[in-house]
Amino acid sequence: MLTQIIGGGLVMGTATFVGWSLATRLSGRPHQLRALQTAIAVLQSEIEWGQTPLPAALRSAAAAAGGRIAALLSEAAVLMAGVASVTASDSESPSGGAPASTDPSLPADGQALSPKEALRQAIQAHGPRTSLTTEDLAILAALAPILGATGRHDQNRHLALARERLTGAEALARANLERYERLARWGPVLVGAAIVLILS
Amino acid sequence: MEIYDLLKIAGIGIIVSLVGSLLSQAGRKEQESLFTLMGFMIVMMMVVGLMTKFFAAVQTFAR
Repeated sequence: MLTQIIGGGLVMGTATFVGWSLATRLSGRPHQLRALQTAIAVLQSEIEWGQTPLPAALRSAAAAAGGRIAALLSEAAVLMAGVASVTASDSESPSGGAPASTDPSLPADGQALSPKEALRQAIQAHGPRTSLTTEDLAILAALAPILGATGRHDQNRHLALARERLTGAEALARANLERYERLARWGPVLVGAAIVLILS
Repeated sequence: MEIYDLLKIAGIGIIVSLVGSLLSQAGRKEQESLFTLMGFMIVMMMVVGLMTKFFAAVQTFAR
């Protein structure tokens, strides 16, 4: 009897955990998409008006976004921190070089990456920890070859396009949240209860 | 047959109807039908088991 109770508790606990983590992921996606849009808006203004170096612009964007998106953008900023010569508004400047920097957030080995590679690695490292889908991350990844590598206006156009796509993805994510949140939260719990009942 | 068996069947019925309503809210009509059918099959298997026990008891009594 005691074994049955413990087993039932374990099944119910696991089912509840699965349900709540699914629901958290579902409800976190619209927020993170919104945060990403805010970050891109900040990045756009830094590129258009601030002429800020790209790592610093990314740090500002991260501060505006907050949460896990901030971690992703900060990581990208840290990885490219050594590229001091590449500013966000640089036109036609190759961004592959890695000159030394006095930035304290520079990786210990001092190896700076190109903006493209830095963003790609940051997405790879932090993407799975966010609630974003691969399609959402692909929108961000599409910016990787553009940032710091093309002209100011070109970068701005790409950032505006990315924001537009993210707005569409956010609307879809909100519709999905409304539709599936209850099912995701309570479905596994009820299925767990059914399993416990059938096996008892 | 104990009261426990009846409660078990009732519990499964309640859970199946709750999951069914969740699925229908989510617009998953096909999955709802499948889930309801699955619940029905499980309950039927239980009922068949109970009926088998009942007829076996009647046979033993008649001998």
